[in-house]
Amino acid sequence: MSLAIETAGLSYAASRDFGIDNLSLKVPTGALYGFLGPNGCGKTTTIRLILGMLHPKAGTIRLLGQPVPDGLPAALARTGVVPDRPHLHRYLSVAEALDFHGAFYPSWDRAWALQLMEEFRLLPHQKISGLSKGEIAKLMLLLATAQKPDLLVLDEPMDGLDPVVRRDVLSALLDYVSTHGATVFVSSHLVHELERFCDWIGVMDRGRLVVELPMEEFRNGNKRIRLSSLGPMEPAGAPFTLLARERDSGSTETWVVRGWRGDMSSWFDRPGVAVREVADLDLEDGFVELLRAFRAREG
Amino acid sequence: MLKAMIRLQWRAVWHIVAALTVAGLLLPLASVRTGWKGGLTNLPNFLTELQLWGLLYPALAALAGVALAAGIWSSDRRGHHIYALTLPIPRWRYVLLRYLAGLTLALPIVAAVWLGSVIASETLDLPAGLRIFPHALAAKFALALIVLFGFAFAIAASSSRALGIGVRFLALLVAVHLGVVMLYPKTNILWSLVTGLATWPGPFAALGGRWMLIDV
Repeated sequence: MSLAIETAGLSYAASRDFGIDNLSLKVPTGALYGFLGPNGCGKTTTIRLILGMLHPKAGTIRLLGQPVPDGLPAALARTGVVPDRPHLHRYLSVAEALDFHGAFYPSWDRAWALQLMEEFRLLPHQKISGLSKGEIAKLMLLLATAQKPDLLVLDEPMDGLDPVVRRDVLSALLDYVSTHGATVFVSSHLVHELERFCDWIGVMDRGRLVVELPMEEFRNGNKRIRLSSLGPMEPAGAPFTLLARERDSGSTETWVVRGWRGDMSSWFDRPGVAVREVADLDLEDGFVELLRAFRAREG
Repeated sequence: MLKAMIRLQWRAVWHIVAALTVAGLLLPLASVRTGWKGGLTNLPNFLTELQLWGLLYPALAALAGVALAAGIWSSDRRGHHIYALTLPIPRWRYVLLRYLAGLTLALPIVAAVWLGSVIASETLDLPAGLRIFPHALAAKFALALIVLFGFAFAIAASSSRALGIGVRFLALLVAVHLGVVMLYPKTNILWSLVTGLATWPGPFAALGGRWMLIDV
């Protein structure tokens, strides 16, 4: 499997209390990779490390096969970036911002940029300082995609946008991906936002990677199981991961598990135990339970 | 890329360039006009007046250098350099582009000083013994502007961390100076340092000397 982004043993101390710890990410080429985690978990710091803006304390990074930071310019020439906050020159007009940005990219497609500008209903003479949040988001995506990148790195691109703009941005993004087969690495703290279009997911918490797997596996592998048992059951040797358990009343107990497959019910085939119900956990519940279990485990 | 950078910086600092270009054009004209009031009858007074006006040239160069450097970097600093860092060029090249574009935008100011000096010198009918130096004055102004722009550019482009190191270094220097002064009252480290920087071959030597459009 070729990888668009690969980090190994990445560590970075952002402050005395917070840092990225031994992070190993593998983003397959062509994937729509959702980088999920609560606010302040280190997503933006990780993205800045990947893009060579910060220097790691330890570990290696490869971006589109290029080592970071040595091969960074070559990698960035094929990477479109939408940072967490817009950092454009506010005194430029939309057309001037396009011209300036395009001068740095050999693959810049001016005709397509102008077409996108029209589609996004951005006016060429509009000053960036006068654009709304939604218009800025569209302009950022326009700049990131008009250079025809092989990889798009988007840091919370839809944060704070209204549903209409969100849909416009998402649709433009998916249009680009479907026509160019680019890899997308998009961070968010909103599970449902990523659920709609990502096929891979990496969950991060407290500067560490909790899990990284195909979305399908994440979606289908999280279950809530209601059991009836005469006594407490131990999960030792279970073929799935127990994320949480709760004794309801009397002899029933609820387990939240990850990595579940249909044939695993047989693991409960023992005297005095019966599986009452196996229910799908919605993605957000799965995410919450996953973090809860991770935090309990890590203390 | 350089063209794009010049356009970008022009949009950021055009009002500074325009104002300083007008000032650069008017300065030699005004110095000659006000100094020439007494005519040839009061030549020493004329030269003294010109010498006083001459102090404004390094001041204009300093103002231009600092204002251009600060204006050029203000947007990047406001955005924590994030946008610049996503561009596919090495950092040193980005800084070089910014520097060259900044120097290009300083050209109209230098040209204005030169043009003002030439026009001013054309309006005068000087007696024998007095010589006029429009080209030398403009060249000296250009050199001073390059030095001061470079200095201000380096500070404006620095990260907060680098600036912090610089400030700590200066504080250490002052502390050492005070310590040495207490032990050896006749030694003045800071004065020696300032003198070293401001006299040849120090980097700020271009600011010193005589800034005379007309001299004997």
